Formats: sequence, structure tokens, C-alpha cells
Amino acid sequence: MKKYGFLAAAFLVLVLAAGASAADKVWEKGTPTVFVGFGAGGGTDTAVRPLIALMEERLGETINVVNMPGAASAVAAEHVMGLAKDGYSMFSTGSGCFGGFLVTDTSKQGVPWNWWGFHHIQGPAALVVNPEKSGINTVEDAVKALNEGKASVGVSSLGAGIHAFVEAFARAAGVKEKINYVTSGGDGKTCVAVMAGEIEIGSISFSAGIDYVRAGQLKVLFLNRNDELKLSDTLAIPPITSLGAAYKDIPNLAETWPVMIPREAPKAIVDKLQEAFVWACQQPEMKEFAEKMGYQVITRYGEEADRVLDYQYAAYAWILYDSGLAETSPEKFSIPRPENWDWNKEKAKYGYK
Amino acid sequence: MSEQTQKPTSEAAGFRGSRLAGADFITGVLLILFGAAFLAGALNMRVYQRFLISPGFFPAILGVLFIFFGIFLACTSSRRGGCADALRILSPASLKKSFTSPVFKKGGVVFLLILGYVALLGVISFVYLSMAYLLLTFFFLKAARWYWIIPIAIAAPVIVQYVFTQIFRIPMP
Amino acid sequence: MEYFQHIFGMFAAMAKDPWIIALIFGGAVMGLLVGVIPGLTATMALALLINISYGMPLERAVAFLLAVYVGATSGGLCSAIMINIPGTPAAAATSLDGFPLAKKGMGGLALGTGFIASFIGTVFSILIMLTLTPVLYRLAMKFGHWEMFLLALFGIMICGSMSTDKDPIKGWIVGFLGFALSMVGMEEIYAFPRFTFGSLQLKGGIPLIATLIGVFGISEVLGVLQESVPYKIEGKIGRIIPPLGVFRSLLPSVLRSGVIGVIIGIIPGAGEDVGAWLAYDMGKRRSKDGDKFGTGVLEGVVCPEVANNAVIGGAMIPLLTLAVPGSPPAAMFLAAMNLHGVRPGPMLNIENPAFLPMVGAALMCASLAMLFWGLLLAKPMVGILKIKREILLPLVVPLTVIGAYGGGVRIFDVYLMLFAGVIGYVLRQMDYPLAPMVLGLILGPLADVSFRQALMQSRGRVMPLLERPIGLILLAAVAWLIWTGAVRARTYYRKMDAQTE
Repeated sequence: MKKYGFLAAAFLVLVLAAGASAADKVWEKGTPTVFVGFGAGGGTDTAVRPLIALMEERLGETINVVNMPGAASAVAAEHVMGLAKDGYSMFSTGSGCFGGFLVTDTSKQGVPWNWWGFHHIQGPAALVVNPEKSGINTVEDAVKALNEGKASVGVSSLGAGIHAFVEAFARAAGVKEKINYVTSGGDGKTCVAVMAGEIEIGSISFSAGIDYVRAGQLKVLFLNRNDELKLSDTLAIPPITSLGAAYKDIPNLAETWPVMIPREAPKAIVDKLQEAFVWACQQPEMKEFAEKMGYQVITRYGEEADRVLDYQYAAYAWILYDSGLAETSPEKFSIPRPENWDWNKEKAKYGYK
Repeated sequence: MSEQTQKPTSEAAGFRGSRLAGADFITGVLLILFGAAFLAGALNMRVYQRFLISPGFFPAILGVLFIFFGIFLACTSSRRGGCADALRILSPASLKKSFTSPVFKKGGVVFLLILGYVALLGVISFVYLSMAYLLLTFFFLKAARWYWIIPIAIAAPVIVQYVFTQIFRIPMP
Repeated sequence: MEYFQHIFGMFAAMAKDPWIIALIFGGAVMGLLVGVIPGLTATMALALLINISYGMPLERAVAFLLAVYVGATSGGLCSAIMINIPGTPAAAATSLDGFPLAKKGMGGLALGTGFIASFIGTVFSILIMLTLTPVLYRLAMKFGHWEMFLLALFGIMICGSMSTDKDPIKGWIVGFLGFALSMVGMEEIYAFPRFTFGSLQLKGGIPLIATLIGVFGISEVLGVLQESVPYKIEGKIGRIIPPLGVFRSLLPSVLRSGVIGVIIGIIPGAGEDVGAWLAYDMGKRRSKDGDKFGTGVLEGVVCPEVANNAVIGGAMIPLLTLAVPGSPPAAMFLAAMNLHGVRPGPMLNIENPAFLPMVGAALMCASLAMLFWGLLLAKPMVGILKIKREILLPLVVPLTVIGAYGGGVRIFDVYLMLFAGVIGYVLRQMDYPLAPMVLGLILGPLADVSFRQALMQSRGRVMPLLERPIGLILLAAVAWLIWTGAVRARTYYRKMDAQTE
């Protein structure tokens, strides 16, 4: 009798364990997928993969990463929004891309308030030069060269955060001449073009150029952040706010690379995802990764994430329109100009009171 | 001439180019039309600052090139009787002949099977759909005896599904 | 000297860690299989396997990923030779001579030669990488937008010599058709939608992989199966490993293709596929048997296979020194390195001096593993040649569907593949070469964007562009291609007119 009792107990334990492990799983029915809106190996891909890897570790489940480039990630956004909102499909892109979705008529569904966002890191923009080749050594030199039409500015692509950054800087510095932009297809390529003397000034996401700066091959004029960045004992990079009062108003458009899940996804999945996200951001691996790449860990989610993203969304939409890249005015979608933006007015569409 | 509808005018036997004079002529005309449409589309694109750096510049060049190649093909092939050949190919009798040829029919069924397979992707699960497709195709082609066909058609999709999802972790339709 | 100690140290460390050896052999065979299946490429394999490598220590991850890379770059030659459907874009040139060889009953020899050529190409490029990296990376910096444009144009113009029956016009037409297809979608500079007719799917552009599988794969399936009696390959397996004399006599071709591969690898933006095509074209022009190219000569397999593998080592040079990847799979490798906290770039040699030797040693072992598996599997693979086409080709169809779908995860891509298959079928029926379509699709966007970027840089003036030395050389090369093509077209059409009269 004892033997059967033992067997019965063992069976019970097994059943309970099986039930518990199935209940423990975040995604019971299969493997979730994050659709990354840019190509494999690109900046967004590189930024978001460590987060997903750490979240996998925490949740003990596989998360597939699929690259779906096209139309500045609008293709991926529409794709995920077109799938069942059961929490199995997520989306990832650079925060600067959302502003273009409506005004360039690429994605109606991908607007920020349709997602919960988890932003792990942010990367400040930087203006870099190669003094040896271009003769530009200071911010004043740069402004002068731009005003005389003697300098072109390299950006990875038009309408991206770093493009917006140059426009904001030029306005603050009183540059009258229209800036001649050259696109390069990637921040790394912008750096190489500046080093080779092909382009005079480069506007990059700082992480892409940090090693050239350390190696002394590029010089950073300033960074888009509020405090000085000490790279080493001898090398400190000034923040844009140190340039003077005119530059105080340059908005924080530092790009983030969030993992987004449709707001209608089951709450249980979103909650577990959030827990794993917070855990991932606290890991030493994440800190180390961010430090090496020149990012800051920000652990931004919930209403705070919505607020910052909504501001960037408005700012980018207007910059795209003002620089002639978008034909439709943001006004048509009642997107306020950044200077008139007010979270208390905007938050209703996110469902906040 | 009736046998020649697929491969018109093979007077210069062994010389592959000339037998296609009619086809070349038709291609030439189509290229001119395509090029013109491409050019028109390109010229209607938005111009940013200068035309040379605008999105429409290369499509415009391509449109012009297609028109040029089209004229070239039409001219050279008409020297070889391409125009008359083309008319012959496009005549109802000849078209009927080629659409009812055994090669066309067989190819057509093979194509329709693939078309049906692709159209039903996402409606029926990949494994069952592939099994059905393989079974139908094998039977249509009389690829082998039924006791070979059925196990192959059933086993292949299962193996493929397993390998791709478990080993390569590739998303399946 | 210290540098070479590093390299030997790496080999010693690898020999000590059985895991590394296992991962290299496992990765190489996985890569080979990925390469064999139409539509699955090295880039895709790396993208999918990076997360697996995250949990590994750095040395193992590097060894594993590079083994997959080398394996997948070589694997494409199998399907190109055996079923005339290149497994990857990089192997498309290989099918031009590989498949005729198989039809002649020399499939085993073609496979063996292809794998050995791939091995030589990889090793050649590793040696260059290990010795000349500090000198050669400057070449990547010399290539501005204008030079990229001319290189792309040069690549498209060689379409003319890819035509099967000596009519360059047809090759050019198909090449420009591929170029035209690549114009569909949102362009890269202003995100302006071209020829999208309001469709969001088309805004994403025409995917290269789906088109490749359609043009080569589906059209082959249709073309062969419509015949009342599809072709059979009479089988005796014959020898796999070519006699030594073959490679001795092909030494100039091997060296030339190796150099082409390395240079194309160094230049950012052009990858394995471009290297293979250029080497094939140059082989055809320079070899004394050039006119036999396309009818099934071993040299036509050796040239592209040496070159596409030589791109690997070449692509590592700008990757490790400038953090600018020389080819798409190299970009994936860069992402993987970042994930592991290694930052390729100017600081690499200072912060992590052992890394370059480590990559060299891992690549060396990976190419050995690739050769081992390739030659081991060649015999059973030749067996596939003997399977009736009525069984084999329908089995290929589900694989093409997976390949087309897996690249972009869109059913739309599968529809496009079918459409491309119909176009490919029609072109094939009219004796047009198919290869230029893919080359046009690859190089079209590069030509378009680079040209406009070059003009943005020069503020719309053309004169400054003509003062660039490398640009001038490339410009002359393009002019030469157009001239020789035109001359060939003239003789061809004269001859044809004469025959008609």
C-alpha cells in the first residue's frame, strides 16, 4: 500500500509541477517575437538585443528577434499592429521614428499611445569634427563655416534625431545659411567620412563615435546632455548647455530604443515584461554595455515613458515638416509645436486622467 | 510553321538569337511602353532642391534607357523579320495553338498548384498544406509509385517544420 | 613578433578548449545547411543565432559565429551546382558553370572543387587580414560616395557579359530591369515612396532574397517540370577532389579572384555577391578559356567561389579597424561583438590586442571545418543529383516559401517570390540571362543613393567629383566596359543580320 501511496504522491507532484511550470510561463502558447524596425546589425538592433537577452534570462523563456526593416520601421509597426494583440508580438525601433509615422503617411497605427514602451538606455547626440582636415576646432569655427556655406553636415539619415539636433543647434546659434546635409546611411559611416575629410561636420549618436574620440581621431564639439562627460582624466566633453543661454532651450531629444508592446495586450504579460525589464536594467551587464557604448541607463516605463516619448514625437514631427521632408503638416493631426506642448493636454489620448 | 509558335522562325538553325526575332520585337515594344510609363512616373516625383539629387533622377534615367533599348530591339529584330513574326505569334490561331500545347498545359498545372499553395498559406497550417501540395504535385507528375509518394509527402513537411523551428529558430508562415 | 605569438597562442587556446572545436564544427555544418537551402543566407543565420551565442564566453561565441559565417557563405554552392538554384546570392555566379558541369556528370568534381576554392579563398583573405590590416583599412576610407556609385555602376555594366549567347544588350536589359525593381519602395535619402501605388507593403521595397529565390528557384521548377520528360543526370559519382594540376593551372585565376574578393570585402557596402560576380566576369575576360565560361568549366566555379569567401577576411578589415562592416553578414558579426562588450574600432588594438589574432585563428579553424564537412558531405550530396526531378523540385517549393518568408516575415514576400518566378520563367523562355536581374537589384540602390549623396556633398557640382583619383580610374573602367560591350553587340548583330540574309 505504501508503494502505491508513494507513486500517487509522486504523480501528484509531477502534475502540480507541470501545471505550475505552465502557469509560470509568461507565454504559454508559444514563443513571442520582437520585430525590430531596422536591419540586423544596425544601431537599433545593437541597442535592443542586450535588453532582450537579459529579459530572456530573467523570464527563462526564449524571445525571438526578427529584423523587419523598411520605411523607417513603419513597416514593422504596421505589421505588429496588424497581428493579434495577445502579447506575443512586440515592436522595437528608435524613439525618433514615431514622429514620422503620421506626417510622412507611413503608419497610422504605430503612434506612441497605442503601445506600452520600455526604454532601457538613451544615447546623446554629438557634433564631431576632424580639426586637421577641416580646420574647424571650436563651436565658433563651426558656426562661421556653416554661415559661409563652407561646411557640409553629415547625418546618418534625414529626419532622424541627429538631424533634428543640428537644426535646433543652428537656430540657437543664429546660423542664417541653409545647411547642406549629406546622408551617410549610418553613424559609423558618418564618422569615417569626417575622419577622411569628406565631410566637415558630423552629427552622430555619440555611442557610434566614442572610440574615435578616445583614439583622438575625432573631436566632439559638444554633447546633447546637461552635464559634462569625463571620458578620461584629460578628456572631458562639454554639454551643449555650457555654450550659453541661447542653447538652454534645446530640447532633450536623446534617442532611446524601446521595446514596445501593444497597449491591448493581456495585463499579465505586460506586468511580467515590466518586472523583467526593470530587473534587466539593474544588471551589471547592462551598465557595462551602456558605459562602453556611451549610453546612459534610464529604466523608463509607464507614464514617464509616455510623457517623454510624446514630447519627442511632437518635436520630430515638426522638424520633419519644417525641413521639408514631410508634406503633411503635423497640425492636421493636432500635434502641438514642441514649445506649446503640454503633457496635461496630451495625456488623455494615452488614457491618463 | 505551326510547330514554331513557341520557337518562331528557326531558319538559321543552330543560331539561337535569330529564332527569337518575333519575341524580340514584342519585347522591344513592351520595353518602350514600360520605359515611357517609368519615365512619366519618375518625372512626377517630388523634386528636393535639385533634380539630380531627387528621388526621380535615377528612375528617369532608367526610363530613358528602357525606351532606348526597346527601340534598339524593335529595329534590329524587324531587320530579321521580327515585325511579321510578332504578328504571326500574336494571331489568334497561333495563340490558341501555344496555349493548348502540352508543354504549356503541364507547366500551367504545375504553376497553378504552386499558386494555390501560396494562396492558402496562413489559412491552413504549413505542415498540412505542404503535405497536400506535395501529394497533388507528385500524383500529377506521376513522380513515383504511390507507396513512395505518400510517405515522402507526409514525412518531408514534418521534418522541415521540425528542423526550421527547433534548430534554426526560423519563423514559419 | 609578439603579434604572431598571439596567433599561435590562440590556436593553442582553441586546442585546449574542446568546446571551441565542437562549436566550430557544429557551426560550420549548420552554416553549410543554411547556405544550401535557397533563401537562407549567412546574414539571416547570424541574426537568428546571435542570441544563442549571448550566453557563451567571448572566444566560443566568436568561433561559433564565424564558423556559421564561413559555412553559410560556402554552402550556397551546393544547390547552385546540383539544382541550378543558388542557395545564397553569393552563389548565383557559381551556378553559371557549376550546373552545366553537373549535367555533364561532373557534379561531384564541381562540388569538391567549389569547396576547395572556398577554402583557399578564406585562407587567402585571412592571411591578408592578419598581415596587411593596418595598411589596407585606409582603402575603405578612400571610398567616398562618388567611388561607391562608380563601383556599383561598374558592377551593373558587367551584366552585359553575363548573357549566354554573346548578346550584351540582353544582359544589360535584365540588369536594368533589376535596377528598376530596386527603385520600388521608400528611397533612403528623403524616405520618398517610389512606385508604391499607396501600398504599405511596397513601401518596404522589393526584398532581394525573395526575388532571388523566385527568379532562380520558381522559374527553374516551372521550366523543368513543364517538359514532358524532365532532364535526368546520369550518375556515376566519379571523383570529388580535383587533381592537383587543376589548381596549379588555375593559379592566376585563384590569385586574381582572391584579390578581388578581399578588395570588395574591404569596401563597405559591397558584399560576397558582388565579389563573386566581379571575379567571374574578370575570369571570363582574362582566362584563355574565357569563351568556354558558362558551358561548364571548373574555372567558372573556382573564380566566384574563391572570391566570395575571400570577401570574409576582407570585410573584417574595416570592421575591426573602423567598426564599419564590409558586408551584410559582417554587420551581424559587429552586432554580436557589441553584445559581448567588444567594441571593434580604433580602440580595439589598444584595449583588446588579442582580438584580431583571435578572429584570424577562429576563421582559419572554421574554414578547415567547412572543408572537412564539404568534402565529407559532397558524396552523399551528389546522390541528390540522381533523384528524379519530379520528386526533387516539388520538394524545393516549400523550402523556397520558407526562405522568402523568413527574410521579412511577410506573406507578401512569398507572393512577390511567385511573381518574380513568373518573370524569371518568361525571361528564361526568351533566352535572357537571369543573373543580371539579381545583380541590378543588389547594386541599384547603392548606385542611386551613392550618386545623390556624392552630389549632396559637392553641393550639386559635378566638376569636384571628376578630380578624385580613384574615381577617375573607376570611371575609365566603366567606360571600357560600355565600349567593349558595344563592340560585342555590334559584331553580334552584324553576324545575325548576315545569317538572316
